[in-house]
Amino acid sequence: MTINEIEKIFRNLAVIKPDQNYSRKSKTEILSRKQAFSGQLATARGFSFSFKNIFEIAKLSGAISVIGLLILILMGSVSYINKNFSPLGLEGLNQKSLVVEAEGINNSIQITLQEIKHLDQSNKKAIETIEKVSQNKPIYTTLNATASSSNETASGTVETLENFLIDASVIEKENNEINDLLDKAMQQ
Amino acid sequence: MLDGEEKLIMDAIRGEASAFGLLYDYYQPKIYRFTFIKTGLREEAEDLTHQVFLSAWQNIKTYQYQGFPFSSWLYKIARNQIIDHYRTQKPVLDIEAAGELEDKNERIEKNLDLKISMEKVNAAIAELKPEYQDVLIMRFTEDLSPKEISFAIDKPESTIRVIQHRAIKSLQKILESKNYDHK
Repeated sequence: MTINEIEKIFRNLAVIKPDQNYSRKSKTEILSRKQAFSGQLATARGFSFSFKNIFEIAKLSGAISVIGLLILILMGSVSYINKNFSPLGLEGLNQKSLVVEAEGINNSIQITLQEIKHLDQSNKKAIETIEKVSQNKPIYTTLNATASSSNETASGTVETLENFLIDASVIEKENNEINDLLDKAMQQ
Repeated sequence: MLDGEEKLIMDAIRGEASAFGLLYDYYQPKIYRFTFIKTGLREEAEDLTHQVFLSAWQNIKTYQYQGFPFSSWLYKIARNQIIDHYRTQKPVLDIEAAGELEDKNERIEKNLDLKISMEKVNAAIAELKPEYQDVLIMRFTEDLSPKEISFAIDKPESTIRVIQHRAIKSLQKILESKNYDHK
């Protein structure tokens, strides 16, 4: 069998034709099913709404979301690297830590000033107390005065001694009060 | 190639059923013939042809004109449909099928100068590799150019010429080995 004879066999197969009824039914079914499958709905504005369009929109939205997510991850990574590994992130160069450190120093200065002020006030109180005490007549001054007057009269001497004894107990109380005030002042 | 085919395709892509209907009318017999020769069974050929055009209609928006007739795209779909079909079901060319084929093609036999029955020819074609079958049917029955065939079966044009040559040689051997000689 030659090549030409084989070609002729195949060319003669071209007379094969489908059944007309089958063709008609198939065509009708295909064209009707297309509309049912595609879900095309013509709106009043003539916009062609189809599931394919929804799919396209979903695809676009997905792509945008992924890009957004990648940008966020990138920004987070840059921030993390900058925070943890950057040479600019040294403690001495970190602005926040510097501010915190400065605030700490400022607070310690304030505390020191308050202490100084407190000591100053305490000193003033102590001075005032000493002055107050010094205004009261000391015991030895009273004794001297009493001794000079005793030479004048004997009767007067007895009275003066009694007064001295009375005054001594009063002075002792006053001294105790002064000591208490001094203690309180020191405590403050 | 159908007159005004590009415009019809564009209209079909826009969803005009009438445009696709005209394409269907022109190409459906060709695709049916292709599937019929490949399967040897009328019902299978009808089912496959239906699936081919349904798939084409539903996916026509993905079609891009690349300088080849629409038929190349349809043959490509048809080949894939046939491959899928044979994945689940082996081709059977039994006596009944051969008889059906013979009945269906009585007219063909009458027109043949060669005194070889269509049953025997189809049986010989069935023994060829699917790729050889495709090339011979497209080349000689449907009269496609090697370039068009190359697009349909995704192979270079030069390869199509080689396949065609080998397919003819192979068919010659099959027919000679079975004494399918014409008188």
